[in-house]
Amino acid sequence: MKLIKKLTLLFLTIIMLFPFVFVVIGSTQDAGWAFRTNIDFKLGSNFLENYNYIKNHFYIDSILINSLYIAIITACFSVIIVFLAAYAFNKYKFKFRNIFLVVFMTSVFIPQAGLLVGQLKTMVFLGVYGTIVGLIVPFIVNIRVYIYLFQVCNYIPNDLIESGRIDGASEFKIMLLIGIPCIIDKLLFSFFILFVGSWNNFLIPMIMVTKGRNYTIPILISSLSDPLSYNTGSTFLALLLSIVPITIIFFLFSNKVFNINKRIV
Amino acid sequence: MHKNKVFPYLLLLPFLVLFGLFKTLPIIYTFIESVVNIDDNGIFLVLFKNIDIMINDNLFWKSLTNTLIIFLIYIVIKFFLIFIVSNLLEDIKHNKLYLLILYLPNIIGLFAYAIIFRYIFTYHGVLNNVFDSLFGLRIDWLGNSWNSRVMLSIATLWGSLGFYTLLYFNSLRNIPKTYFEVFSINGGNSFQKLVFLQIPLTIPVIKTIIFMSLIEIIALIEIPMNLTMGGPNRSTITISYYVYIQAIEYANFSYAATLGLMIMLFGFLIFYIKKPKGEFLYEIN
Repeated sequence: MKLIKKLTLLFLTIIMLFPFVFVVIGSTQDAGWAFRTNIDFKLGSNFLENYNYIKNHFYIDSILINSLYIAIITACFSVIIVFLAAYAFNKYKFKFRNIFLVVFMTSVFIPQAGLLVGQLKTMVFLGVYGTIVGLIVPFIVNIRVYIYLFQVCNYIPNDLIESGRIDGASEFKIMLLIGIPCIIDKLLFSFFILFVGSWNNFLIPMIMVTKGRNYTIPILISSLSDPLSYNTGSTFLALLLSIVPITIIFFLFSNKVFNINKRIV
Repeated sequence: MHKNKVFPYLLLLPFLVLFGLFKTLPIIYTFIESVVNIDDNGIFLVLFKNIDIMINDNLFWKSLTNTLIIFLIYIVIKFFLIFIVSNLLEDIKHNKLYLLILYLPNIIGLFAYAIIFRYIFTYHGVLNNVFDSLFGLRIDWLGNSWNSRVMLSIATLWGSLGFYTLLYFNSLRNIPKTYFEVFSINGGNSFQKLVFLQIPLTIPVIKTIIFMSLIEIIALIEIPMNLTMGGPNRSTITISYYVYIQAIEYANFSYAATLGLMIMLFGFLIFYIKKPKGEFLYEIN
């Protein structure tokens, strides 16, 4: 019975991992590999060729730098700004607090498509349409991360803050020296979430970015996988480029992602 | 909780400014765009015209039914897998490792795995080539409307299964083990255990999962766009993807904004029914 259980799980994990293996193999094969009738799952030797194909048709260097730059800047600003707000909401009492909380919570429930037209109009109105800034600033406010950090702020003991006040520290100093050190690992985890979110951001950049130098990796993948110009090898290579960095960071952070509850006996 | 006149507002300021600019202003813009039409000749009220178009638009109703059908398929497959996997993981040694692998697809962008799935499941794609060389048959995975709806659900599920399994698994662990032991001592088999004990005890988390899936399917836009492109006979156009089609492909902004308002209404409705607490936090995408 135990063997059957293990085999079922193993089968499931193999299915879950198959697309990854597929991408890795595909990135080393030639252009028509995925559509060949006698397909063979072996590592090929066309890795460099695929890379050169991308290099000849796109500004691959600036695409990689762009993606990294945008993701890191967004995540940095976002962690700081969202943390400040979450801290203020969790630790202070002020007017309109509850109204704001409900408004923030509601906006989680609005799917992105509902706002699509308005978002594009807003960006045109603010003059950030099609620019790099337009790929960063609109995605700084992330309500999911805000809710996460709001709950995380409960880990900062109120007694510690109170003792800081009694000792005469300013509010800012309390936040910096007492608040942040208590939850630094959670902040790192939300940095990871935001980095991944920005790295995978597809819809708005896809609509907005037209200049080849401003492309990000999702747009590169999308234009490579266009049905009119199937080049599977280089598409898989681009997919690999998008998957590998976040997978590495994911395994670095895996202890933070996973809180498996202890079994209650 | 501490009262302070200035400091909390200072902390909030950047967040509120950005929230106002990029979360509230779009709502106002969507509303204006759908209600009035401003051009050189003046201002016209177009809301009723848009609603009239919407009611008579077959594709709109089709996209709504598509969303509902895909949601139902998704929910059924999802709970089937969640129940199986979380019960399997229960007393296995390396369950953390298995969960990690199940969770891994969640961090990959929806668009990316939609494209990977397209290469695997198209008629001339990898899976059919393998089937052809092994058994000599080709299955039209994305070729007819029901197949493509199921494939769309499976593709969505591939990305989110790990997250939901983790959620369910954690709540399952909060049920005392003695309940299950008493049940099996009294002669209940594992199916009865699932139906009469496990499901009733985990109703809150099941409700949460259902509502989250509903939001997820309503917001589905990148997967139909990259996997099926609306699919055979428009059977995989979800409501969100229909907004995208109207706004970007047909450049029909006013009507797309009205559809956007509809989606927002759905969101508010779900919010009103669900009255959420804090379960939405760990979701990454």
